[in-house]
Amino acid sequence: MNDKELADLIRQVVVKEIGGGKAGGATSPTLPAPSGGASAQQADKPGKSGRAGQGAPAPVRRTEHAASPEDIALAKRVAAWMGAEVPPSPWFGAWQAAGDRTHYLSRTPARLAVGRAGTRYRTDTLLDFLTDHAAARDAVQDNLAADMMSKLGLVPIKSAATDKREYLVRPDLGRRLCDDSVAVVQQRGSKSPQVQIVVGDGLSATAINVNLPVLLPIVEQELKRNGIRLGTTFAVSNGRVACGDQVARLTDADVLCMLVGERPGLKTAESMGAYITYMKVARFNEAMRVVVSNIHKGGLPPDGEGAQLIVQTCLKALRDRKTGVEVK
Amino acid sequence: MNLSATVRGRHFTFPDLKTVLGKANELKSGDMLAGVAAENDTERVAARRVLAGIPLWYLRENPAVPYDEDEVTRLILDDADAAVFGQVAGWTVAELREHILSSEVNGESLLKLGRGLTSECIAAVAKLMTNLDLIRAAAKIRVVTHSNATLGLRGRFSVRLQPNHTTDDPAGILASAMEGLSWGSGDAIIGVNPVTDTVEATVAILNLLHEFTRTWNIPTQHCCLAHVTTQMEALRRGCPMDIMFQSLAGSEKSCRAFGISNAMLEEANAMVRELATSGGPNYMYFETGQGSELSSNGHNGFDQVVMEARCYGLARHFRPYMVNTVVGFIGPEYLFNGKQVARAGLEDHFMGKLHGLPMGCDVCYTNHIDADQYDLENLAVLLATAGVNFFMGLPMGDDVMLNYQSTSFHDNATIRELLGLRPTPEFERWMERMGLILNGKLTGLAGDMGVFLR
Repeated sequence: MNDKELADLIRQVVVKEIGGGKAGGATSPTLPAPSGGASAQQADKPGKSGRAGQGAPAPVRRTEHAASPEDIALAKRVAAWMGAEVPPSPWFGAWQAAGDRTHYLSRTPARLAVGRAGTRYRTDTLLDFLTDHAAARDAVQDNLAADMMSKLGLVPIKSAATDKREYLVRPDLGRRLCDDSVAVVQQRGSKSPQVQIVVGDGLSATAINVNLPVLLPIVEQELKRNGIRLGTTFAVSNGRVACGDQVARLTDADVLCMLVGERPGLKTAESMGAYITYMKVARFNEAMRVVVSNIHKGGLPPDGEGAQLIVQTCLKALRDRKTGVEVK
Repeated sequence: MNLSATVRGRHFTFPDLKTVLGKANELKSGDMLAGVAAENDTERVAARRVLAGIPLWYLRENPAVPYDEDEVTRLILDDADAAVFGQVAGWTVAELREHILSSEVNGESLLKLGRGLTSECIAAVAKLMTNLDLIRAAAKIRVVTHSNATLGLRGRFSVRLQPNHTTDDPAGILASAMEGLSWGSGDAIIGVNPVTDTVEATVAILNLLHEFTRTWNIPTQHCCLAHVTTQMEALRRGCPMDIMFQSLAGSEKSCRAFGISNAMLEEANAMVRELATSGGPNYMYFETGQGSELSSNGHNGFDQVVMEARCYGLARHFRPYMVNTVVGFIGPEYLFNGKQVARAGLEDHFMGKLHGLPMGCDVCYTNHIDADQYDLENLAVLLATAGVNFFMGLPMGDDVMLNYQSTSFHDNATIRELLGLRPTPEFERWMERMGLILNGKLTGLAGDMGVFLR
């Protein structure tokens, strides 16, 4: 059945079921009024004039083909939904508003109630959107700040990806260190730490530049206070999570704590993630990572819950001598 | 088979069909990552010249993964109508292209032809088509499906409302859903991606959507985009569900990476047919996207257009209610920029339609690909012109949970006004009754959730 035949059939059935031009339907006695009669009547008016504006359906053109019982059943269901005879659903009235517009808007970060200019955005909401998008795009192209790294005592290293473009199209290169950096880790990394912290720009160097100065001193101090031996902290540019694995293997660490910038969204371009992995396993798989995600000042605060969760997860990994799920 | 061509005095000989198909593609970062892309434009056009002369029977006899090794291949080949294929087996890919574009050939005839073609044949012809070719051909084909309402009629353009929320908060989900519905988004479906893939979250979301849509008598359908096994368990617990969702891949190996098999999809389809709260006869919703086979190493050396086409070959077996490619989501290593995303979106829409599928598109981009809002808007107009069945609808296009941008309530309303397209007939009538639309135009009430809070 093609769409013209189907449309014809629907029209036939609708006209037969509800008759002539009175297809407004909302007045059908079997149609339950949505949450109170007053609103139903109010909503009803434009519907009727809408029909009048379109003109009453043309006289039904009887098509020659015989419709199958399935087609007729289908068209009847369509007609039912079109308002001819909606059977009251047992679920009708199951929903009631939990509050007013303010209540609903307060429960979501979505970009709602922004108005419109015709069907397009109002100018200020458009500019807000473009501002957030600019921050997200710039975060992807951003680099780890040299002064941030030196202030925190990070040793800079690089992945095998030579620039941002190559980094974005060659995930394999972003997952391993360049040869020079392997040598740097071997020379400068203190051996056999209990926790090896590695920082990577990931998809937002901005997230690292903003959060690390706050978070790293807390994490280091808390781990040391618990008697944990830390390694030399490295910072990988154009680096994905797997670069951390390579560093941890080179330094023979028990636990890797990899801090990376997460893919920026419009809500924030400053979200950082921590991937914590117990490294002394025979066969590694991705399910063994524990992820603390959404670390930024509007999510898990870097000077509070974010830092604390990282510390606790590292301590637990050392205690349990495992992380994540064991996959066979 | 002749796998050689001469372009401007340079002679090219390709070792096999796989190489020809890969190198005939438009430039995509995913094909470069897979090592199957042409080295330059001259080699690309040489591969196209070879492909143009290849007969369809040769493509049918050389599927991307051998029949004996792959259940997706078996399903695609067994489903293709042998009688229809027999009439065109001797055609070359060039002849197929010109037949599809012929002014004498209409959409119904293309749908019939498509039933006989394997996914590899359809992918091959897409590679020889320009962007406007893909639009022209797809626009001929209407694929109409039905659940509680009728999706895909000519002159209609629908929207999947995607009211995702960072914590699956019911009031937060409904806030987006109510505003979207008032805009006329949500006539295709209201579908929520849950934050956590659990039966509890799925049941809670579906109950919420069911209570809401039934109380307001909205002629639409709902789904929760959890894994198919999670949704089946929700159904077993008596949860209302109009449509069942699953992401697909184009080979058995990549389907396994998604945790699915043909048998599991059959079981899910049978279960939702029996237990759904919708009217049928179509019950499934599938998402696809170029590049997922390479990312799970299940591409068997083939390019991402061929593997994507095979997703559609798999999908059509289940006569789904709706299918869409999530075209800009996968990342720059597969689709680098707005140009590559647009090309993939047009290819996917055309290939899906020729497979007989009710194709929509998640026209979207992440912030780490080289694309922006203008690329999204451009592709939206192109696909709407090509007769796409539906887009996504989100508040200002910003998915606060999945962190990417898709089409917005505003965008979809603009597309409808611009191109004279309307929601499904059932949904349009409902909007009229609610006072949201008048003579096909949005009223002053549209865009405000207040209509549901009086």
